[in-house]
Amino acid sequence: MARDKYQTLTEQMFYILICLTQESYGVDIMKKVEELTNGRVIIGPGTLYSLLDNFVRENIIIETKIENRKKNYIITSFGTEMLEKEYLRVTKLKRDYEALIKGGEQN
Amino acid sequence: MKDRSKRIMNFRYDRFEDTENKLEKLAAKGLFLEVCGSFSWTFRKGTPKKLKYTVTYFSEGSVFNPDITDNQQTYIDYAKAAGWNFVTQFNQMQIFSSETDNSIPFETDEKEKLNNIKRCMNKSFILPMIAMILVFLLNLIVQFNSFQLNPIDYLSDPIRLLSSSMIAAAVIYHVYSLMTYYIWLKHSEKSIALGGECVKNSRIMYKIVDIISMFILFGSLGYLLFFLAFKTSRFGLVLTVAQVPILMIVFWSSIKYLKKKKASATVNKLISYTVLTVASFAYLALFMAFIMRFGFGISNESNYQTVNWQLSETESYEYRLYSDEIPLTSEDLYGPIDYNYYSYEMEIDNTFFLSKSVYRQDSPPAKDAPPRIEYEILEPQFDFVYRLAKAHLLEIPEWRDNTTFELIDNKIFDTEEAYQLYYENTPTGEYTLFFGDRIITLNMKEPLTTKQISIVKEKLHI
Repeated sequence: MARDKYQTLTEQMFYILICLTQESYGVDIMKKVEELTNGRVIIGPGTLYSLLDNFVRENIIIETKIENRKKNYIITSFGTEMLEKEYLRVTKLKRDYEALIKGGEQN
Repeated sequence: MKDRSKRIMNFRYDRFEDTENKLEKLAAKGLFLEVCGSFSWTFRKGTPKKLKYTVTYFSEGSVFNPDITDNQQTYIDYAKAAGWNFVTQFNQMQIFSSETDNSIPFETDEKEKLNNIKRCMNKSFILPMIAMILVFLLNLIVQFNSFQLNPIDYLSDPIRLLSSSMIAAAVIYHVYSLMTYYIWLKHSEKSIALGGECVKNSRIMYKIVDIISMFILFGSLGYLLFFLAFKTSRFGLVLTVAQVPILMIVFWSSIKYLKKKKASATVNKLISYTVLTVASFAYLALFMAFIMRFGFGISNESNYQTVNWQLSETESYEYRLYSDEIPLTSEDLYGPIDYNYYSYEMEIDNTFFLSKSVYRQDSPPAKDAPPRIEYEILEPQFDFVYRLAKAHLLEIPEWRDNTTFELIDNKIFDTEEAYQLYYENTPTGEYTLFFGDRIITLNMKEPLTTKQISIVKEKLHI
């Protein structure tokens, strides 16, 4: 099911998973994504909660510990695989664009 | 001056934008939400300021939770970090406010937002709606069954007609609410699939329908209470009006008490619903006891006296003897009767469909009881009501196979059609008389003589 649902990742999903390559807790993720993208991608608290909840249910991330009521998460190998696939997909898009559009202009 | 204000808020789970706008307008007037409930919301009075509100849904939220759950606290912490302060909750609905204009939007992924709304709506909105529709439909089936059993009583009873139409209106409104939700859902799904966002669900048309529905509901309720006020005793009316508020107070008190005692949500739900069920039955029992003791359909203003009637050596019963003015009496038909325990009763019911006047001269049970009479005048307002009433009056149940209706000469009562009831081929004192615009049934002790017939015609203006 997870494969079908997350065949492509939204930008918010992509950056959440990138942040979770290192153990982090929810509020940290929100801040990190904003910093990483210079405020281009922001994640609302409702969306963050839903995505983290769904990712845990689909075994894309796991809960590691709870410190002062703060839940920490880290990406799983399945999640890493998904992230890698997304990277390859986006790279392919980039290559295709360069070959078909930019290359086409040169010709 | 009180620093709190309570307001009745008509909100719908699927029209959260309306609630957000309403709360923002109230904050601009200096009213800040503190507690929300199913009907009444509490506001704190303060200096007017610009506040942004967001209404979201959290699937774990429940009125039965003793405290904010850990997951809910995490949700609130995320919101806090994004500039949103938790205000209050009701079931799954969570309300946050923000003083800054540039706070991070609460939801930034429309698909996730819609999925979350869908999940919570199934629990908080769709299931209760379907349950309500089923309860209302069941009630309508019962009403329809009562209509089939006796269309005359049903169509002449304003309370039953009004309650049936209110229930039918409630079914239509609930189905309409579900439809508008699903239409919004489909439009939002389509919009999101095309890269857009959840569509706005606050059309002016919806508001107009809501206002009309509320107007019909409260108007009918007001009429019903007004009608009951004249038809029932004051205590009976108070019992009727107080039923829902009392049961709701019992239910919510149980929830609040168990929350205080930190009972788990499951235990709280189980106990509170049990308390509600027991309270409903207890109330019904109190109501029935009241009706049995004092009667319900007869007004306090009725002119009556009570007699303690000895049924046997050990058993007695209290009878009410009424002194209503009735147009035709046993004395008119049978001459002077020396009897002190007659009850002269009149009951008149009027509706848009049918007017029914029942007159009765009755007496407590006794071997040598004087003649009792009963007659009914029906004035149907529509042809179909006339036909329904006629069919019902001439219907003989299968078990009464020794009874028949025999046509009698129209000249006798100047009728269009007239019948006399025969029991084992012997004529009885029961007549059903059909005129152009009214129907009269006579239930006398024995068949009427020519002289008595002319008295009946004179007294009943036939």
